[in-house]
Amino acid sequence: MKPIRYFLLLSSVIAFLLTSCTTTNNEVVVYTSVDQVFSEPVLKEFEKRTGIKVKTVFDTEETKSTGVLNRLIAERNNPQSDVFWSGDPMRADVLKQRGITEAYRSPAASGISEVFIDNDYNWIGFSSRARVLLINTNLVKPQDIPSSILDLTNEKYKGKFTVANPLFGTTSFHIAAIFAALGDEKATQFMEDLKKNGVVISSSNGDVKKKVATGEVQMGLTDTDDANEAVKEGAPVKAIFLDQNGFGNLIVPNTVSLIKNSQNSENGKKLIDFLLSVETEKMLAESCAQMPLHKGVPVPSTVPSLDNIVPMKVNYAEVAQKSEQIKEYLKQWARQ
Amino acid sequence: MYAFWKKGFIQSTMEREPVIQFRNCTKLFDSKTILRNISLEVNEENSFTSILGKSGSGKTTLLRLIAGLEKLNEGSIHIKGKIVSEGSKIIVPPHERNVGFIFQDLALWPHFTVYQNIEFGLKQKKIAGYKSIIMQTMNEFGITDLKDNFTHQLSGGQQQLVALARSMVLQPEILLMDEPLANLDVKLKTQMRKLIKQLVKEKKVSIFYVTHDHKEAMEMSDKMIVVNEGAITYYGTPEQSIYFDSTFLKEFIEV
Amino acid sequence: MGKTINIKTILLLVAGLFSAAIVLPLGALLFGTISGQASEVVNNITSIFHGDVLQSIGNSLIISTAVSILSVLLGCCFAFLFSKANLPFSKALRLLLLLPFLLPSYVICVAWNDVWLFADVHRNLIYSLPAVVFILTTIYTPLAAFIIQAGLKNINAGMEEAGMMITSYKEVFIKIVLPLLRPALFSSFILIFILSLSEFAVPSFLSVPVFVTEIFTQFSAFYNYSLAATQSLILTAICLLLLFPERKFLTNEYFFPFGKKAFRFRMYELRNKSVPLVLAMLYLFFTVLVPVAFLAFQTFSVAKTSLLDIVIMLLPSLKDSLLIAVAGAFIVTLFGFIFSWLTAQYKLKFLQTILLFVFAVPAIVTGVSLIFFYNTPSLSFIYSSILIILIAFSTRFLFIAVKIISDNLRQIPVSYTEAAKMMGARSFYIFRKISLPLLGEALFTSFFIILIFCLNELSTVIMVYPPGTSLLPVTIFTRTANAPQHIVSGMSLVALMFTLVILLCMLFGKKVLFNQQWRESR
Repeated sequence: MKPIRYFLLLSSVIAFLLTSCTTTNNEVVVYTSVDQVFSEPVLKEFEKRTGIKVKTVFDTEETKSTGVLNRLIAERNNPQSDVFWSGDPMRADVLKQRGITEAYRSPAASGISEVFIDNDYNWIGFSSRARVLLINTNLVKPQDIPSSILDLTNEKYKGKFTVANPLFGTTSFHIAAIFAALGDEKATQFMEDLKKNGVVISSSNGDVKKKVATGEVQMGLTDTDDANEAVKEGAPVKAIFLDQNGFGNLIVPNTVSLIKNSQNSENGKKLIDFLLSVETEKMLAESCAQMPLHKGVPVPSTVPSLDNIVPMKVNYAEVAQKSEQIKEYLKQWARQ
Repeated sequence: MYAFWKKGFIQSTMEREPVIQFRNCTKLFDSKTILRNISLEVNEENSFTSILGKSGSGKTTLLRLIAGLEKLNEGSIHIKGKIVSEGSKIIVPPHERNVGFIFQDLALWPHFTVYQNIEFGLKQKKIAGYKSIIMQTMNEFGITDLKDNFTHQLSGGQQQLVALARSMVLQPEILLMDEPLANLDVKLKTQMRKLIKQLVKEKKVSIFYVTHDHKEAMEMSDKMIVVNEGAITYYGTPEQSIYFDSTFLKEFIEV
Repeated sequence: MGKTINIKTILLLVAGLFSAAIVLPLGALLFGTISGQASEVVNNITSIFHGDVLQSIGNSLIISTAVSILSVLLGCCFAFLFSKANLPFSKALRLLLLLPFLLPSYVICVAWNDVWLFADVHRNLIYSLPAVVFILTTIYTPLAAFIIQAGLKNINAGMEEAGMMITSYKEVFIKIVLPLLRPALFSSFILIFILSLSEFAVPSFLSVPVFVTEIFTQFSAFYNYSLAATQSLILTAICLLLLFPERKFLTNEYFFPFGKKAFRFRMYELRNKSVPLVLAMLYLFFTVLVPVAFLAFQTFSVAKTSLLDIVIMLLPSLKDSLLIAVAGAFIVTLFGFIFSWLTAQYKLKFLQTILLFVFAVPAIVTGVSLIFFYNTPSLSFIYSSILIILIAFSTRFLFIAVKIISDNLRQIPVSYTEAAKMMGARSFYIFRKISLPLLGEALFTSFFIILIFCLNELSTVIMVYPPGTSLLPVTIFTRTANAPQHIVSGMSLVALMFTLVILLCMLFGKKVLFNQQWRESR
C-alpha cells in the first residue's frame, strides 16, 4: 500500500534527522554572546585538547543577545547550557540576579584582579575589550580630537557623533559606568546635554563602526574589537582612549559563568578553567585585540595593554546593577 | 408488523417491487425546505422517466437522494423494495445501490484517459476479466479509437459517450442523468436522445432524467415527474399531462 | 467501510496531536499571561496607553497600511503586465521582481542604507518612516504580484469578452476584472499587513519606533516577559481583527473554474509595449538591481574576496539548513494537506482559524512559548533535537501551506469524487487516485515555497535551535556583527544564489513533472 510507503519514508527522514544529532556523553554545552568569528576558534581548541565535544549556541551583540540571554532565562527550570560566556559582566549579572548561575571558584582565576570578579564568584572576568572613541581621521583634525567623553557635549561636535542604542550591550554598561562614576545627577545632565548636542543613535556598535568608517558621522563610541575590524578593513579611523587624565577609560572584560543545575557541570568547569587560562587570553589578544587580564601574557604590538592605559576604576558588579536601574530612563532617552 | 404486512401486500398485488419508492420524504438544506413530504412510486422497469422542473425546484436533489449522495431529513427511500435511506441515515451506500449517475458536468476525470475513466469502476468491483468488458463497451459506444485520449481532448458529444460508457459498463439497474445534454447542439442532442432510448431497450435499465426542457421530456419519456417548489405537482405520462389541471404545469409546458 | 473509518480516525488523531504540538505552547503562554496577579495583568494591559507605546502602535499601523496599499497597487500592475499582457521578457522580469522577497529583510535594509549613503541622501530622509515604508514595499510587492497573478489566471476569458462587447477594455478592467480579483487583492492586503506589522529588522535598523520593537525592548532589555507577552497578544488581536473578514467572506468563495473545457485565458494586447516595459524595468532597476548590485559591488570591490571561500565557509550551515528545511517543508506540506483535506471533508473551519491565530503571533513570541513549553525534562527529547525546529517551522508556516493546498482542493469539482463514490471506491482510494493527482502541482508548489520560507526563517529559529546545529540564516546573522563588509555582502549573495537555485529547481521540476498532456491544453 502506497500510504504506508509514504509513512515509512516520512518516519525514516525524521529518524535520520534525530540520529544525526543524538547526544554523546562527553560533551559540554556553551551559550555565548561573543561573536562566532572569535569564540569558535577558542572552543575548537578546547575540543581538540580535551576531546570533550563542545556544542555551542552563538549569538551576537548585533541581535542585542536576545537569543542567548532570553533562552537562558526561559530555560531556567530545565537548563540546557552548562556555561555562559558573555561579552560583558552586565549580562552575567542579570543571570546572577535571577539565580540562574552558581558560584565556581576556578583555580585559573588566581592571576586575575579582584575587581573583575563577582563577589560571589558567579562570574569571572577575563580578556578585556575597552570602550573607545572611534574617529574618522579624514574628517577630524588632530587638534579637534576630544580627550574626555564629557567633551562630546561641546557645541563643535553637534550632530557629528554617534553612540549605539544605550539599552543594549556594552553601550548600556558604559553609560551605567558613567552614572556610577559621576553620580546620578551629573550623569543625567550629561545625557541630556548629549541629546541636545544632536547625538546620532545607531542600532549597534557594529553600526557605529560603519557610520564612522564611511564618514556618515565624524566619531562614535564603540568597542575595541569593532575599532580593530575597521582598522583591518583599511578604513581611515583611529581609536582614542578617553579621560586618560580624568576618571579613566572603561574596560569591558569577557565573563564566564557556570549554569546552576546543568547537565555536564564537570565538563563545564573544565571549559571555564580553559577560558580563564593564559592561552585563551593570548588567542583572543591575537584574533581580536583583547587585553589580557593575567599579567605577562605575550601580545601583539597592536594590542593595547592595561599597563599603558588608565582604566576607569569601578566595581563591575555595582555597575551591572546600576545598568538595570537606569534602563527605564535610557529607554525614554533613546526615543528621538 | 404493519411494514411487514404492507410489504407482503405489495408483493402479492403487484408481483414486482416498485423500481423507486419515496415515502413521506422531506429534505432541508440549512433549514430551507427543498423537498416537502414527497411520496412517489415508480413501478415500470426499464422505462424512461424524466424529472421536469424549473431551476431550483429540487429536481437535482431528488436525483441525488436516489443516488445516496444526499441524506434525507425525514421519510424513506426504497429501491426495488429494499430500503436504502431512512430518516437521516444512509442505509445502503451509493455504490451498493447498483445505480449509475451522469453528472451535469459529466465529471470525467481530467488526469485519466478514456480507458482509465471506464476502467476505474470495474477495478473497484474487482470483476474478473474486466479488460474484455471494457473493450466490448467501448465498441458498443463507438469510442474504441479514443481509448488513449484525455477527456478534454474530446468533443462534447464524445465526452457524453464516454460518460455513458463509464456508467453503463457497470451494468446498473437504474441510471440517473442530470441534464447531461444541456450543452450540446441540436443535432447532437437528437442523436444522443436516440442512443439513450436505445439503451433503455437493450440494456434493461431504468432511466431517471432531469431536465428543464419540457419538449425533450415530452418526446422521450414514458413517464414524467414535474417538481415545483419542493412538491411533486404531476406524475404520469406526457400525453396525459396536457389534460392535467394545474396552472403551473400549463404555464411551464406552454412557455 | 471499517477500514475507511480507521484511516480517517488515524488522520484526525494525527492532526489533533500535531495541532496540539503547535497550539499548546501558545495557549500556555496566553494562560500564563492572564492568570498572573490581577494588578500585574491590569498594569500590562494599560501599558499600551502610555504615550510612547501608543505612538509606536500608531507608527506600526501607518507603516502596515501604507505598505499593504502600495504593495497591492504595484503588485496588481505587475501581475497584469507580466501575466496578462504580451509584455516582452515577462518571464525574466517576473523572476527579477521576486528577488527582494528572497533575501532576508535586514540584508536589504543594510544594502539600501549603503546605497543612500553612497548617493548622499540626507540622514533625516533615511532614518524615517517613509524609508521604512519604501523598503518594506519593495519586499512585499512580489508577494502581492504572486497572489494577484494567480487570481488573474483564474478569470475566464468569457467574462471579459462579454464586457468588451459593450465597452472599452479599460472599463472592463475596472468594472469586471478588478471585482473578480477582489478575493486575491484582499488576501494579499491582509497577508502583507500582518507580515509588515511583525517586521522587526527594518524599523529597528532605521530607528523608527514601532510596536514590535517596543515589545522586543521589553523582552530583551527589560526581560519583562509578562509585559512582552501581553503586548504581543494585543498585536495578535489586531491581526486577528483584520483577518476576521477574510475568513468570513473569502473562504467560501468558489470562483475558480478547473480543468473545464470551456475555460480560456485572455491575454491583453498592449498597443504600446515600450512605455510599460520601460516603467517596469525602471522600477526593477531601482528597487531590485540597485541593492543587489550594491551587494555584489561591496563583495568584489575588495580584490582578495572569493565567493568560493565564502561558500566553503558557509558549507556546513548550507548542508544542515537544506536538510532541516527539506524535512520541514515535507512535514509542513504533508500536514498542510491533511488539514486541508480534513477541513474539506468535515467542514472543520475552526482548524484553519486556529492556524491563522498561530500564524499571526509574532515570531519572537512563538520562540519564547516554544522554549517555555518544550524545555521540560519530559519533553527534552523534542527540545534538544531537530524536532523543535520542525515544530517552529510548522507553527510559522502551516497556515500558508493549508491556504495554498485548500484553495486548490476546493477547485476540484465535488462531482469528480462523487462519481468515484458511486462506483464504490473507498474514500482513501478516491483521495489517492483522484484528489491527490489533481492536487499534485499544488503540493509541489507548497513544498518549495515552504522550503524557501524555512531556509530564511531567523526570528524563531534563533531562539530554539539546538546547540551544535548550524543554520544558514543564524550563521549569517551572527557573523554579520564583526565580519568585514565584503564578507557580509558576499554571504548575503551566497544565500541569495542558494535560494535562486532552489527556485529554479522548482520551476524546472514543475516543467518536467507536471507536463502531462492533460494539463497542457487547459
